[in-house]
Parts: sequence; C-alpha cells; structure tokens
Amino acid sequence: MARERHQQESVISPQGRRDTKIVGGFRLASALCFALAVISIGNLFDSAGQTTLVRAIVFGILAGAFAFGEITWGGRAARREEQRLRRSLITQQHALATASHGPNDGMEPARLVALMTDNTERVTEFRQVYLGATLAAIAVPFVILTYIGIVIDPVVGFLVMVLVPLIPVGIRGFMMLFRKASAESRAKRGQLSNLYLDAIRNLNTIRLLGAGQRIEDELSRQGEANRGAIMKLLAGNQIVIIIMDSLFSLVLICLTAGLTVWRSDHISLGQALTIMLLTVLLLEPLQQVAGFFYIGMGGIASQKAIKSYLGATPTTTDLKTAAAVSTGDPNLAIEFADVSFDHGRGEVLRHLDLAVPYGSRVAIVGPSGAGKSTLMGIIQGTLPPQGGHVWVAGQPLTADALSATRTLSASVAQSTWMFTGTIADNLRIANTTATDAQMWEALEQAHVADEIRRMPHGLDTHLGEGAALISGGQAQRISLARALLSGRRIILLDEPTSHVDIESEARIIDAIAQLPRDLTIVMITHRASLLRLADETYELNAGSLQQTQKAS
Amino acid sequence: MTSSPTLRELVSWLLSITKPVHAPLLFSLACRIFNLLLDLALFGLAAGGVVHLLTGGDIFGVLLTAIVVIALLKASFYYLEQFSGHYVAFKALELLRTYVFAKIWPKAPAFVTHSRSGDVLTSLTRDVDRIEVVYAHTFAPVVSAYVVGAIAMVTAGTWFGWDLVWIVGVCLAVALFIVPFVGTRYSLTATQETLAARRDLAHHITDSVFGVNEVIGYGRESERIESMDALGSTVSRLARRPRDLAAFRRAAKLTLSLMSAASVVWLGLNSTTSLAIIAGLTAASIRLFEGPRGIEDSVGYLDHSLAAARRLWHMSNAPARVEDGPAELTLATAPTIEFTDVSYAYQAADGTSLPDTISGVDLSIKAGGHAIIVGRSGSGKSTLVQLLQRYDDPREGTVRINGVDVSEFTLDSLRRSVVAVSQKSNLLATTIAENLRLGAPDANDEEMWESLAVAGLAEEVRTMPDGLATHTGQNGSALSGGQVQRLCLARALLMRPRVLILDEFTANLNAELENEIRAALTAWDADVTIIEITHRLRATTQADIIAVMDRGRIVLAGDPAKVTVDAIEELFSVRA
Repeated sequence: MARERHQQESVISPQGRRDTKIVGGFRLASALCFALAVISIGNLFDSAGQTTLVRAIVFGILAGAFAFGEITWGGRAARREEQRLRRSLITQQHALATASHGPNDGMEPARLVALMTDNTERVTEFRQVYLGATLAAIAVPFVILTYIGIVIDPVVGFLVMVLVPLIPVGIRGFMMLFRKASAESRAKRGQLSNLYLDAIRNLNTIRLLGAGQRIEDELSRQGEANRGAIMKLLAGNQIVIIIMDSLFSLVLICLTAGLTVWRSDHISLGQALTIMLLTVLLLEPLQQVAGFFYIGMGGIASQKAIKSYLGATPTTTDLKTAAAVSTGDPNLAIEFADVSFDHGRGEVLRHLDLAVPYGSRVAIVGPSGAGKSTLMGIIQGTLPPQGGHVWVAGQPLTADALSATRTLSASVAQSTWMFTGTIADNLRIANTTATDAQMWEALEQAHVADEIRRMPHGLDTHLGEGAALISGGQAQRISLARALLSGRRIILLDEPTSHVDIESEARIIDAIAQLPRDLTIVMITHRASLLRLADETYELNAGSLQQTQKAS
Repeated sequence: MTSSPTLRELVSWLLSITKPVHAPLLFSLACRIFNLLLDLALFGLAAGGVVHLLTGGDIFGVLLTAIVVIALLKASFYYLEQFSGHYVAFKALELLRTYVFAKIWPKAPAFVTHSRSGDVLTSLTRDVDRIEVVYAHTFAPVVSAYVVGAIAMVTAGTWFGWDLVWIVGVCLAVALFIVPFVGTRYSLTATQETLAARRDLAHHITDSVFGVNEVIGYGRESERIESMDALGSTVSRLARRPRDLAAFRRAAKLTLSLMSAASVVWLGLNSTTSLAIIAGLTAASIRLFEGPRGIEDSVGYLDHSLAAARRLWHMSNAPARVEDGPAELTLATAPTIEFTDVSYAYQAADGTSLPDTISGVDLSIKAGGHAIIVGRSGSGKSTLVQLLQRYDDPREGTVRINGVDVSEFTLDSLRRSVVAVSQKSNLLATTIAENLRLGAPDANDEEMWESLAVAGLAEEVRTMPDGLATHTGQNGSALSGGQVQRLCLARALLMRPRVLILDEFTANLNAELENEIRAALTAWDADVTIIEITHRLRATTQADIIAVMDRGRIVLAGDPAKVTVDAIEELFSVRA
C-alpha cells in the first residue's frame, strides 16, 4: 500500500491529485442532493405542501448540476494532467538521450510514442475522471445509511450498514471471478483477431502462393472452434451474474423492506418511502464496476509503465577530469587525452588519445561494437566521458557544459528522421533564420538541389509522415544540407551511405568530396570510396585507436 | 464500375450476411426488455408493498415470495441477455470477417498494391469491428429503451390512471426523444475534430521521439516541447464540448427522474389512488430513467457504422483487376520470357491514372537464363516483374512466357510456375513447416529439409529445439532478418518453380552467406529461369543479361561484358 501510494505520487502532479478529490466531491454532492430530493419526496408523501415539492425539485436540479460539474471538471482536469505528463516524459527522453546508456533507457521509440499518447490519456482518464467518482460512489451507501440511522431509525440504518461492507467485498469477488472470465475471453478474442489480421496482412503472399481458399477455410474453422470455446467459458463463468444480481436485489431490497416493516412503529409512511427510494443509491458502487475493466485496469497498467520510464535515472557520471580545466591546443578541432568509457558492460574506450587538426578529414573504421558510436557520442556532446580530457574546438568538455559542446558540431547519422512539414521546415531545424538562398546553397552543396527543384513545390514540398515521399538517399543529403546550414565547423558522419541506393551513394560521396576544406570532418565508414576522401584513417579496436593511413 | 448502394440496398446486403445472428439478437433483445421491466416491478413492488403493510395490509408472505421470484427471474433474464449478446457479438464478427476475407483474397495482390497504400487493410479490419459493435452493443440497448418506456407508461396509464403518470410520461419523452439528440451532430463533429487533433499531436510526438538526435543535436528541445503543448491545448479545447454535452445528458437524466418521482407523489395525493400504489409508482419511476442510457452514443455511432458498411460494400463488390485466362500453364522446362513494349501506370485513389511507372520496356530472357535488373528505388523494377505474375495487366504491350501472353493462363497455374521472393518478409504467424507448405501443401518433411538446405537455412533450423515446428512469430519476429529471408526463399524453392523472381532477396544477408546461397542456387536446379532485382552491383557476373532501369525505362542492357559496374556507375554519375 505504501509503495502504491509512493508510485501514485511520483506520476500524478499535486494538481492532478487535487482534481481527483474535486471530482469525487462533485460526485458525492450530486448523490447527497439526490438523497435530499428523495427525502423531500418522502416528506411530501407524509404531508403535501408546495414548499416541500419545490424543495424536491430544487434538490433534483442541484443533483443534476453537480453531476454536470463532475463530468466537465474531470474531463478538463484529465486533459491538463495529460499535458503535464507528456512534458515530463519528453523531458525525461531528452535527459536519457544525453547520458550514458543505462539499463533502463532502452525503450523502443514506438513504445515511447505510445507512452506519450495512448498511455497518458488512459492514466488521466483513470485518475482524474474515474477514480474520484468511484471512491465517492463507494462512500455514498455509508453516508446514506448513516443518515437513515440517525434521522429515521437506527435499527434500519445501522443493521443495513453492517451488510454494506459486503457490497465492496461482493464487488471484489465479482471482479475477480469476472476478471478471469473476461481476461480469458479477451485472450481468445485477441487470438482470433490476430489470426485474422495476420491473414489480411499477408493477403498478397497468400494469394500469390495459391493458398487463398485454404486460409479462408482455416480461418472459418478456427473461428468457429474458438467461438465455441469462448461460449462454453462464458456459459459457466457468467453464472456469477445471476448470483450477484439476485443477491443484490434480494439482500438489499428484502432486508431493507423487511426491517422497515418490522420497525413500522417508529417510522412514518413518508420515511418508509424515503428508505425504499434511497436503496437506489445503495446500488451506486455497482455502476462503477463496468468501468473498472475498461478504464481502471488500462489506467493502472499505463501508470506503471509511465512511472517506470520516469523513474529511470540517467547515469550522469562525474567527469574524472582534473579540477583545473585547461584550454586545449588551439590548432586542434578535436582532442582526446586518455579518455575511457564504460556503458556498464566493460570498458569500450580505454585510455584513448586522438588529435584532429582543423580542416582535416578523419575516417574511423573498426568492427561493430568496437565503440565507434561511443566515440562519436562524446564528440557530439551527448555522452559525458568518464575519464581523461576532451576538448572540442578548444573548449574543455565537462559534465555541465555538454549542451554547449553540442552546438559545436553537426551530425549526419546512418538514417535521418524527416519531420512532418516541408523541406524548408526540416532545414530550419538547424538554423531557424535561414533564408531561401542559404537553404538552396546548402542543398547545392549536398548535391540534392536539382531533385528538390524538380519537386512540385520546391522547398515548400510537404514531406508527409516518416518522409514517405522522398527516398532514403535524398533524406541523407537533406540531412547533410542541414548540417552545413547550421554553420557549425565540425561535421560528423556516421556511416551516411549504409542504407542508400547506388545513385544516392555516388552523389553523397561527390558532395562530401567537394565540401569546403575549412570544415573538419570525422566519419565512421567502411566504404572504400569514402575512405579515399580521408586524410587520415584510424582503426578502433579493443578500445584504442591505431592509425592505418597517414595523409600523403 | 460499381455505383454507390442506396441505404436500403446497403442494409439488406448487411442483413443477408448476418442472417444467422438475427434470431439470437432478437432473443437477446427480448431478455433485456424483460430484465428492465422486472427491475421496475421489483422496486415498485418493494416500495408499494412496504407502504401497504404499514397501512394495515396483510400480505407479507405473498410480497416476499413475489420479490424473491421476480429477483430470480430478473437475474436469469440478465444472464440470458448477456450470454446471447456475447454470442451475437462473436458470431457477427466471424460472419463479417469470413465474408470480407472471402471477397477480397481473390482480388489480391492488385487490391493491396494498386492504391500503393496499406491503409485499405487497416481500415478494413476497423470497419468490420465497427459494424460488429452495432450488433453487439447498440441495437438491443436502444430498442429496449424505447420499448420498455412505452410498455411501462401504457401499463401504468391504463392500470392506475393517466392523470397520475402524465408528468412521468412527459419527462420520459424528453429523456428519450430530446435529450439524446441535443447537439448530437455537433458533438459528432467535435469528436471527429478531437480525433484529428490527437492524430496531429501523435505525429508531432512521433517526430520528436524518432528525431531526438536532430532535436538535441540542434538544441531544439524547448521549441519542440512548446509546439507539443500548443497541440495538446487544441486537443483539450476540442475535447471539452462533447464532454460538456455528455455531462448535460447525465444531469438531465438525474433531474428528470427526480421530478417524475415527485410528480407521482404530488398528483397521487390529490387523487383517490391508494398510498401503496403511489409509493410503488414513485419508486418505479425513478428506475425508469436508467433505460435511456446509451442512446446518445448510438446516434453518432450509427453514422460511422453506415459509412463503414459502405466502404466494405465497395471493397467486396469491386471488380477484380485481373481474371483467369482459359489455359492451365504447365512447364516441364524453364521457359523464355519476353516483355514487349510494356507500359504501366498506377491509378490514384480517385481512379485517375498516375504518370507511367514503366514506359516502353523491351526485355527478352532466354530459357534457363539469369537476368539482373538494376536501378535505384522507385525506378519501376519491382512493378515490371510483378506484371509477370499478373498483379495487374500492362497498359500497353505484352508479357509472354514461351511466347504466350500471360493473360492466357489461369492465375493459380501462372503463379504456381512463376514464384517470387521479395525483400519484404511475408511470413504467417505460424510454424516454419506451415509457412513452407503455404505454396506446396503436399510437401513432406524430406522435401522441406531439402529446400531449407538450398536456402542455407537447414543447419540453423536443425539446432532449433522445435525444428520445423518452430514458431516464426508475427512477421517472422522470432527469427532474424536473414533467417526470414532464407525461409521465404526455401518456401519458393519448395514449389519447384520454373521461373524464380528474386526481388532484393539478399538485402538482409551478409556477403558470405549471399555467396553461399548463390552457389547453392546454381547447383540446385539448372532448369529454372531467374530474374533478379537489385540495387547493389555485386555478383552481376553470373548473369546472362543485365538491364539498368531508371524512371521506368531500360537505359542500358546487355551481357556482363557490356554492362559492367564501371559502366553503371558512369551512367549514374553522368546523370547526376
């Protein structure tokens, strides 16, 4: 319980928790007004009076007004909390992306997107809309019976109340039995859907291999068998419906009615009617049961997932560099001295030294897993080195200056994500104030300008999600143009041609060959044609660099 | 071309598919009506009975028995309603799915590739689900709300007098005929807009998450967060109105039910009706308003469902793009293949022709030959070979096997002889054996192992604990990319094709493995014509003919001596 409380606290903001209480308050107020209206109706039954009638109607309207408040407040609060959660999640992603790879940050991007869209919505629908209302609904029978016990008759009120705790117990039992049945039937239904989806997804293969009729028959056979199994399951499990439903009506209604008749000496006719009408409110918790399966379970699972992502601590290692920070060699764009790095699975870089003069072109080769990307990450300023000294453009790399380091170089990775929007929008990510002329110049330099000129709207061509409208090779060249447009003097290339077709590869290599000589270029590559462009080539092996080719 | 069906045609079409669930659906509806009516009776009887006892009546035993019997009956009807409801849900889903699948598979692959969009398939499954909801969750609640309301009012009015219950009748009419429809259209539009805004937000988040390197590398973190918040605010704003309307409906229901109860007492006390009856009617009138729940959701839902049904109707009734020819293709030896002046254009979603993807292609491949088609992505290579399998027919020109137009053959016999292995993994979520047997249902274990061996996968499958019975996972997720590709190759080989199309089949293989498989393929069966598509220039030497495609045309063709790697690179750098 204590752990659960802690968990809730860390995901939901204080405002969000307050909203839950407010929603619960509205629900409670609505139920109380309903009760007061019913009591007025009982009074009316005893002695007809216009004021009593008016009172009943006024409370009836108030019950409605509070119900209105509950739903509207809950909806608004949920959307507000959703915004806060998304913000925390993306901030966390940024924090994790600029830290050493800990064990917890390996979340798939697609999963993270789900976390920030579907899951945040589910959590807030649960916490801000459903939870407060449900807690209030559970409290309602106790409040009502206390009233009956004090004002009308203690025996009726408190004896029924003894049975009221059986409601949550009963609901719990109902849920547990039902949960199993519903989980099983959901699983079966899921199997059936997957089978169908699988067939639909592979429609072409099935058709081309001449398996259409066979799969159709198989689907229908499996569907029938599966449905038979589900119905059998439900036939047994849903007996619980009969038991719960009759138990509720019998115990609550018979007991209340019986006690009222037994205590008739102490109860007026109007009060008797009031008691019978109030039994409607005793059923209030039942209305929330159905929601538990759709909102509650999904919300709790989502909350756990979000909590676990937000709980991952970025490993910020203190730089074990000397306290006195010296300035680097003024002739070097990049300088590594005695740099080590460990992702927690053994050292990747071991006492590594590297000196890249301004304007030089350096290639780094090495087997996969040798630490090439780690080395790049340190130069980029996304990974804090754990030992030794690093200078980029003469600036010493320290843990609190990582974001400053990130402004010194621009990268082109193996594959480039194109943002929804136009080509110009994508270029402006690197330079918000770039003019059209500057963008065309960068695109010329990246050897992609001709192709973009041929597109229907030139720079304003819309790319669509995931850049479906341009080829991977074009995306790589746009990424290069973007790097050039940023005005940064150090360009980092991480296997930029590994996923592109021959034509694009040729163009990318031409573009790189013709880049201005004052740019410093560091590239990870295995392509011979790219290696030919390098002044120096180093091989990264077992954590240290070995020069394999010297500038001629 | 198929024209749009009228509403009447659409509904009768749908009803003809779902005929087997109509009886259980009506049964479920009847059970629901009984359940709701008994609920009214239960509360009315309890309240009325208590007042009757208190005013000197002596019916305790009768009353108790009646309550117990009604409660048990009500529970049984509830059970039957739920059970038959589930039956309807599952059966309707199954009927619709089977029907739609049976209708569309013969139209594949043109149906899928033609619009060049995977959306058709996603929307198809969603549409089927949508219609199922009408059967499972909409019909009975809506119909029963009106039926129960009518029965309850007529019964109370005739038995106890309309002067007692006319206000209840008015309130119920408001709840059934006005409240559900207030702002429904508006709410529907707003919901659509909210969903659209959520999609925009999801796109934005997808960009931020997948493009995190760019965002961080160029220091755009706060900008991305701000624009995300702006989109989030739009979602919040749009989501408000539909929720406000839902809140209004809940409020109206509560208030109307209490007003009805008060009106019965007020009118009753001014009449000669017995107190017990007044009490019973009061209690029943409060419960009466539980019924209308769910109508408002259905109003909007029905629109969507009709739209879904219309889409399914179009899909199911769309003509197939290619039909069987008269002849069975049987090939005892590897055939010749000729593309003569072939042009092809895809069609846009609205049916208009797009620019030619292939124009004026001529290509001859000798019997048992090995052709390689090179070109960058989007140059039309895959589309060209798909015409050989008759995904569609060319706009102009002919594709011939041994001199006979491919449209002369039945589709099944053509595709049994001409088999493709594509770059996309196409595995069903089942065992390796089932996947292998997809194209050759009668293959035995020995034959399967043999083709796995040629594809270079036999050793790896042997080390798997379940061997041929190993599950491949969805889209082959339980295997590596290279394994999936080799399994697809083995599946094709198992069909003993006379023409084998290899579309980027080595994309996921390392060079060593690729060479091994090439060697095994050469040794496997000399009597097959191979067409290979690639954008890599490796291993072109074993080809008889190499064709270079660019923008739908063959720009260079000849034997490896003529079309060398240098010549191709020359071609592209000149064009660049």
